[in-house]
Order: sequence, then C-alpha cells, then structure tokens
Amino acid sequence: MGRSQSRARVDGALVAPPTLLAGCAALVALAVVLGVGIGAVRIAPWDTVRILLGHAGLATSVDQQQDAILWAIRLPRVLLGILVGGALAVSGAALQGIFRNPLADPTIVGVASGASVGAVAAILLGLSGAVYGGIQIAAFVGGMIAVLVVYALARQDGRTETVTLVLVGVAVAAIAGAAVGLMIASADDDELRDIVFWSLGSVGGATWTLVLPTAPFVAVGAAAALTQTRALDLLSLGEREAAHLGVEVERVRILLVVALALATSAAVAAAGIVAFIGLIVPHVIRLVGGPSHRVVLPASFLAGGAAVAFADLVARTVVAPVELPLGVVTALVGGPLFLWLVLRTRQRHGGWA
Amino acid sequence: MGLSLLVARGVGGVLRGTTVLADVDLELEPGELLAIAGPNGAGKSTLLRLLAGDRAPATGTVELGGSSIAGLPRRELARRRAVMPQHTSIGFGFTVRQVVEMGCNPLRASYDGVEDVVGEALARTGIPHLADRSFRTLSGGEQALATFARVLAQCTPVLLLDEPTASLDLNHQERVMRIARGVADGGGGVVVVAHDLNLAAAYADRICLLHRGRVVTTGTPWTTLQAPILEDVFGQRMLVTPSPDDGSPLVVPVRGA
Repeated sequence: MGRSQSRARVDGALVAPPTLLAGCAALVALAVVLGVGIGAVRIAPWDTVRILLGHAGLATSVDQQQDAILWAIRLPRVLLGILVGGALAVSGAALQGIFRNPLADPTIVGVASGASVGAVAAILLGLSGAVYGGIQIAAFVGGMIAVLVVYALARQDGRTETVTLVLVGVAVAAIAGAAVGLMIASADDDELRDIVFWSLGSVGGATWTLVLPTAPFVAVGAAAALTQTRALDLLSLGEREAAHLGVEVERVRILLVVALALATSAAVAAAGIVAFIGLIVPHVIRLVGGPSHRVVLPASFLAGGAAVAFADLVARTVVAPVELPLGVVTALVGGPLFLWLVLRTRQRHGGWA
Repeated sequence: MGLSLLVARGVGGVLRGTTVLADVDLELEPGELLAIAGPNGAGKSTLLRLLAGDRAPATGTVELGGSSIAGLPRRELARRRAVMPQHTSIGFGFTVRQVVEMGCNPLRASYDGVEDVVGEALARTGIPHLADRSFRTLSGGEQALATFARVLAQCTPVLLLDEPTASLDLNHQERVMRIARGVADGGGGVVVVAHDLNLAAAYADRICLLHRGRVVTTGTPWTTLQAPILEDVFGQRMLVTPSPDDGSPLVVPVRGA
C-alpha cells in the first residue's frame, strides 16, 4: 500500500500544471498582501487593495500614513524579495537542467560568488551612484566569468560529474571569497558599511531606486530561460541525444547561461547571497508538479519569489524590532529541507552521483 | 535502385590523432537492415557516429536522403534519421510517455498528431502498460524498449541503432531485432551495430564486417560469415553451420582441442 503510493509519487505529477501554476501565483499574491500588511503599523488587506488602486488613479480617500508606509517602504521590499527569489529559483531550475544535475544552483555553480565580486568592486569604485544599474552590470560581469570558468572546468566529454562540479564550484567560490576579502581590507569605513550590509543577504534596504534597476535584468533573464524549456527537457536525455533530436545544444546552453547569469547577478547585486532558494525550490516543484521544464521553470519563479517574500516577512517580524538577516532564515529552513531531500533521494535512487 | 537512403563514400575518422576508420563505403537501400559487425575497437561506433552526423568525417562524405549531412541543420537531420544510443540515462524523473514524446520534437512544428505517434510507438514496442511509469524505475530491458519507442516516434526513414541489444536478455534482444526488422520491411532503412553475430545473421539483409577501421567484406550473412574470414578478424576459430531454426548462418566458437 505504502509502496504503491510512493510509486505514484515518483512517477508523475501530484498536481496538474495549471493548478500548480495557479497555486504558486496565489502564494505570490498572499505574500504581497501579508508582506505589505504586517509590521509595526498593520494595514488590512482591503486597505492594501484601496491604496494600490489609489496609485493606479482608481480610488480616493486613503490613509496618508498607511499609504506612505505601504508604497515607499513595504511594497518595494516585498517586490524586491519576489524578484530575488524568482531569479534565484528559476536560475537554479534551469542550471540543474543544463548540467543534468540536481545539485546545480547559482551558489554552487559559482554565479553568485562571481557576482558578489563584481558587486563589491562596483561599490568600491563608486559605481552604485554614478551609473544606472552600475552594481547590476558589474555583478553580471563577475557572475558570467565565474560560471564560464566552472562550466569549462567541470565538464568533460559533454558530461558533468557531481563531484567535479561541487569541487570546482567550491574552488571558484573560495577564490571569489578571497577577492571580496581583499577588497574589504582595502575599503574605508563608509564603503565597509555598504559592503557588510549588502553581504548579509537582505532585501531590507529596498527602495524603488533598487527595485527598478533590478527588475529588467531579472525579467529578461527569466523570460529568455522560459523560451528554452523544451530544449531543457530534451537535454535531460543527454547532450548527444538532444542533438539527435534536433537541438542546437551549444547555442541553447550559451543562451541559457547568459540569461541565468543576468537574472542571478541582478538578484545578488540587490540582496546579497540568499542561500538555498535556487536549490530547494525547483526540487519541491518537481516533487509536486513533475519534471517537465515547461512547468518547473515558471512555477519555480513564482514559488521562489513567494518563498523569499515570506522569509523576509519572518526575518523582520519574529524578533521585531530586531531584523534577522534574510539569508539566515532561508538557510534555517532550507538546510534541513535539503538534508531531507538528500536522504530521500539516497533511499529511492541510490544517490545522485 | 538509385534512391539509397544513406550513402557513405570513402569515409574516414580520426580520434585523438589516430585514424580509427578509413575508406568505408556503404549504401543503405529502402527496406534493408544492415548490420555492422566486428571485434571491439574495430570502429563500429565511430562509423555510426559519422553516419549520424555527430561529427564530420575526416575524409569522405555521408549523404542522407540525397543531401550531404555536412550542410544539414540539426533539426533537418533529426527529421531524416533517428539514433538509438548504447546506454540511456535520464536527468530527471520523466515518465516513459514523456520520454517517447521527446522523440516527436523534430516533427512538432509541422505536425499535430503527436499523441497518435506516441501511442503507436508504445504499441509497436509492446510497452503501453509502462507509459506512466518513471523511466528511471524501469529494468534495463524495459529502458531499452522505451528508448526504442522514442526513436520510432521520431518517424524517420533511417534508424541508426548502436548495439541496441547489448545487456538485454534473450527475450528483449529478439523483440528489439524483430521491431527493427519490421521497420525495414515497412520500407525504412536500419543500420544496427551488432555484437552478436548470430543475431545479425538472423535479422540482417547484409552484414558489413569491420576490422581495424576498414571494411573486410560487405554482403549477405552467408557470404560474410565464413569461418576463415571470422577466424582472421576475431582471432578465434569458428564453426559456421545452418541454424536448425531458419537456416541462417549460426556461428559457434571452436572451444575443444
């Protein structure tokens, strides 16, 4: 009995794709309403809707104080959380597809650490204020370089071994960490504060001036990844097999790596390194909705966005008025969840290696 | 005759600086099942890769359906030939039906009967009951049949099968070869890299015997599977006798003194 149930689970989707996507979208909506409503000043859901409508020019007579808190402080923060979580989760899902390896994720593949080098360099060079999207572009360059290095070193004969991937990722992350450390050592006090604040992994500093430059990078990266879902499905057969089925493998891979570096780097530039989202969210989505990337990619984007928005809500409310770093919350939840996934996979398929 | 499905002329292959294949001429007619046989390292898989267009031959040309494969885009190649690899693993928990559907990818743009194609491929390989199982939970033989169904779902005139029966039990070996024979009888062309000479003898119209990267002989099973040729190629004394079942050549290694 138990066995046949678990068989059904391994074999297909528990939930049909439209239901899953609708559910994930509902989670995002819930995260927005709760995220802007809960805090020192509570704003009821219907007031939230009225305030939002007011900004669309459709309603009048809103509470000016509530309006200011919602529009200037909480909404950008929630939206940034959604963008960051969505970018990390969709990048994780697509990277896992490219590498045919469920352990791939923006932090492990080195994009995140490379992006952090770029972002810190941009802060030191004063690019953040000087150029629109300056940090984002610098993070993108750093992330791109790192992922290309990992990609070139970890692959052999068209395959990526898990162990090699992890080891190369660790090495690249260590080198990137050293580079960040060197830059921190040479920073003055103001720069230092900026860097430390940024590196804790937080969407706490969110303003519209941070959300607006992040959004197009995430949108373009995620949209580009979404055009390649069928190719990603075919790639899960192997590169040679995908090529036999008409996929221009090299072109698809390069397009995806650039797209993901774009989305991830923007997320890292805005919020630092938020752990485990890129690894965990796609796994959970696959468990619920099956492996097809046409479902996994969009659902991961939505669920990842909701997850970070909720994690941020927890981070700023559990021990209020003190805020926990966002990365701490995601790691506290994601770490144990990941261990459970590893143990479960070992039981079912004899491991990932 | 002039309409060969697949023509190789003077094909040679180089692997890490070593010539592993030289001067191979090959033609595949509609309705024909051609087996490529030979000892380990004879160049069988390399030849299949060159025929599949995985990479360009070092010398010579390969023509598929009348045009050189060098100029064909991947998608067009995928409409003309399907390839069954020796081993299949899959990155995620796709079901058998999803895997077979992947075979329809090259068709998709111009055709909307994908579901029928998938159903027929599952039926021909005898695995409709496995359709909703995860590919990864299947036995080796079942995975081979599911992969074969995926290859059939590509609906191409030419099939290239790389040791499709390796590591399969007798029942599955015969099933795979029967289906391949059926594809040829239906007017397609099938190239099979075969390790098992008796299987090749029973099902192939012609056998191409490779040795050290060169074609030793190509012809009907009875003309190619001759004891002196085999002994020379495999370095093992062989006895060739008509099979009591269907009269095709039966190759038996001479083990006694």
